[in-house]
Amino acid sequence: MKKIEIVQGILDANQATAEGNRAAFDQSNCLALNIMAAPGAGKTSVVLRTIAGLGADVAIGVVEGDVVSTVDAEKVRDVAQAVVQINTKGMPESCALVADMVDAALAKLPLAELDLVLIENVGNLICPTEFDLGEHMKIVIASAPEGDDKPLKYPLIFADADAIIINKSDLLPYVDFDMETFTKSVRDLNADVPFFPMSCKTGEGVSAWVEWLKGKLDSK
Amino acid sequence: MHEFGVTESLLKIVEESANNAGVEKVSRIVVVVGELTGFVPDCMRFYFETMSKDTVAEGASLDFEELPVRLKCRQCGHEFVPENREWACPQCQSSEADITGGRELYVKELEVT
Repeated sequence: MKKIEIVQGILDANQATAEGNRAAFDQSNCLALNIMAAPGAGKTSVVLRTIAGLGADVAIGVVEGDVVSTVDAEKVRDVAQAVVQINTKGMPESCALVADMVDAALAKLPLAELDLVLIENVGNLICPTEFDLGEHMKIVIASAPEGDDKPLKYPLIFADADAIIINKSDLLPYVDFDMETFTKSVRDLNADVPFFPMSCKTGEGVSAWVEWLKGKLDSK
Repeated sequence: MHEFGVTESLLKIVEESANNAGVEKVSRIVVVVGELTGFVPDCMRFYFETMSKDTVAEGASLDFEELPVRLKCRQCGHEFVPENREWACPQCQSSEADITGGRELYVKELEVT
């Protein structure tokens, strides 16, 4: 029996496509965010609040990942400069966006005219962690009703996050979510990540996130 | 699930390697998978069985070596495999650490004839 040593990463092909996507964003001087969260945490609401908060000065494209529906894309269509819907049903991966899907979406976006691309991933805290899409930053949204133990259950997504939004802060008085417990368990794995508690419903806390993002756009 | 695309990539790597080495048959594939990844070996085996039909890897056994989570303590620099859910450093009890292992996913070796 002969052995062949290989040691080749199975995700190398995805990584290579992701680097290509990143180069395309860079070439257009466009900041790309990969927005990840569990279903119902408020990804689309954050996208809408972000677009409204940044205002007309920032040209924004949105890539909506979803398994079958177009409801999210329809909500965003009126306010974003450009929207591309990716439906993952029938694709090899239905639980997360992969770099190839974003590559295909980029062909439909007027990148040269855009300052910011918001990529809304499929609602899931596990699978999207594995696939680099070519984004510059990973934004993870947790919502108060999900509980403060999510970083213990899904450590990788919180360890990789460049910013964490804690949505539905208006529900904090009614649910078991201890902010200190949550931030401590994230900080243990991700020392410097900024937290943005907000309520997309009331608008509370949205401006701190928008200001932070403006800073990132300015320094791009 | 995302094992379908990943298994396709795996098969492609195996076929290319076998082709480059000029072998006729791959009988065993060893894949290293980190504990923190969401990949399910049984799921990959299921897809692999179907996908590898009529390829050089048909009938090959797909074996997985799981690597544990590894952490490096941010306080004292000790590197360790955590024994509990709290992931505390056994040397200084700090819970602040960087993940240094557990997210691997690669083909390690093939047995061929």
